[in-house]
Amino acid sequence: MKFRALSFLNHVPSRVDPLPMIEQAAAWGLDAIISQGTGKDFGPHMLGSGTQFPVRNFKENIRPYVKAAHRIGVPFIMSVGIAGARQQLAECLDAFDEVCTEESLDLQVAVIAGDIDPGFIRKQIEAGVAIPRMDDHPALPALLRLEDVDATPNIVAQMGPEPIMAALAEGVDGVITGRALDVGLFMAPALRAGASKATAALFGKLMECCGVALYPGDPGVAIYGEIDDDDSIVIRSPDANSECRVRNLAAHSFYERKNPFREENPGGYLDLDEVTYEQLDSSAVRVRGPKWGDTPYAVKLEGAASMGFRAMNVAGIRDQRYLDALPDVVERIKEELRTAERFMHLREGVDYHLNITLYGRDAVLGSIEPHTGEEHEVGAVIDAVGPTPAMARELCYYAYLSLWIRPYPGRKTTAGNNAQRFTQPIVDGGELFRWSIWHLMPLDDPLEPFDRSVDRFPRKEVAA
Amino acid sequence: MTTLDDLALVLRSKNAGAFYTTVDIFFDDIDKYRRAAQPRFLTVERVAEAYGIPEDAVHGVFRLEEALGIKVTVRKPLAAHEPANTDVMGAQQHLPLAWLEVPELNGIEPESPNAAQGATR
Repeated sequence: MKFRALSFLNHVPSRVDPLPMIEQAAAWGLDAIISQGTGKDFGPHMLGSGTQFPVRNFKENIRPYVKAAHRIGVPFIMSVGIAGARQQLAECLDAFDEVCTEESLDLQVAVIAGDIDPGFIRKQIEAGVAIPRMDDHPALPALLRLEDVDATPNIVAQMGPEPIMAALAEGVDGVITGRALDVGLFMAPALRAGASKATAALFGKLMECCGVALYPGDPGVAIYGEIDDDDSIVIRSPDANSECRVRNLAAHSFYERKNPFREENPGGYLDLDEVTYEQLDSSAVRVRGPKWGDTPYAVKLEGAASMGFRAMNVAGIRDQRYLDALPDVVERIKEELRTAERFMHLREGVDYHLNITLYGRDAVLGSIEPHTGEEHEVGAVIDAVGPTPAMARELCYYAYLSLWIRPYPGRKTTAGNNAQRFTQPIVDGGELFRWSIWHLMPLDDPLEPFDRSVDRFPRKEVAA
Repeated sequence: MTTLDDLALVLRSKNAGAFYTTVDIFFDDIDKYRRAAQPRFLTVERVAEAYGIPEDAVHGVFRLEEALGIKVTVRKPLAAHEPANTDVMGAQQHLPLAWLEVPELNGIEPESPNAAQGATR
């Protein structure tokens, strides 16, 4: 046996009592407890705004696992804070500190930030290093430019396994990171234990989303895995009410991925083409056959920049004559904003955006909606984005008044054209962020841009 | 007429990052899987037509028999964060495929497991 681990998600509450799962895992044998809690699935808003899920959620989710790691005497490895920038990491470290105090734990913990100093990236660009986009999409510049770095207050990178391996080599009780490659958290201790890169990466891929890979598939359930001496992997369900089944485990390779057979990682790609799955019993599956191909070392950078502020109005339309007139009315309102003297300094699609989404007609599928013209009512959401909150409200107000009260052909409703949903006509929608950086930065040294320190927790001695 | 929706056990869509949408289709038996996995059904051309996108925006059509699953990934016309995007998690984009009619197998052999077609392979 090379390596054994238990995995849970630290941003998702446990849906079953974690203690029996921990006891089961300890009985099978454990070398580490690993937990991912960073990701970009929730969009750029948290990275841009510096927010995260309630940190109390994180604190209670980690408590039983941190206690167990200490009791069993194995390290824990956790990426924390969703977007995983410095602000979210700091909040999670405060919560971790409280857990240590409350549980009378005294721990040496390596802390690795996921932030990348913009100056580091500028230097690369100025030195002529090409930092290409991760996804070939016109919303992203093909190569990262200085102006993209300047527009982006928070930049993180998915650190690979190497900084975590360096931290583990220092003999710490645990490692807490900001933004990190999920799979890297698992690769780090597995590689140190002698697993091949292919096996370590596949092990991470099967383990990182915990119970989602089990049946019935619940992220609030932990998962257990081992790497045997022959480099094969066995995945087990530590929860008595969940099963580990070939079909679900194989299907997990699809989850939120572009390609189920190939996964890009820093320094190489995992090839799943010839992976085989063997059902051992209802709670265990053996997996073999991953391959690894080396590529130049690079980490994925993520950055969120502000797009402005949003203001909205919500109305219902039931009158058939207005339903019939709506396509023309929507175009008319857009033209009114384009030509209004007061908005002449704003460029549509650049400085401001106006969308009127018609729920019940084609809001979800837009131009490919095949089912049209049979609705009896429509929900209209006016959505204006402008450079300041005040400007967003002004744009929205201008459009709202037009939809609400201006004449249209055949109108009889001269006191108001729609059913206003809220007593305040304009609802603030907050600040909007976009992925301004979604690029691959080559690195000579996988450790270089990531700040690492070892801290003792609790950080302050509690007065006796 | 049998649609993909009639055959599938799970038919879901989601962002695969902010710039791609991926549709996962799982079946509860091998016959349904093989009928939907026949190469003449979910072609790059048909996927492009269903979503109203150019063929080079179809990232790939992937089949994995162990999972009884088919995956279709397409580049988003609008990135998930763009103000006009009305499905920011991409979770209702399975329907253009769900409504497609799936032909009978008619003795045509399915491709070998793990077959993929599209821009990537």
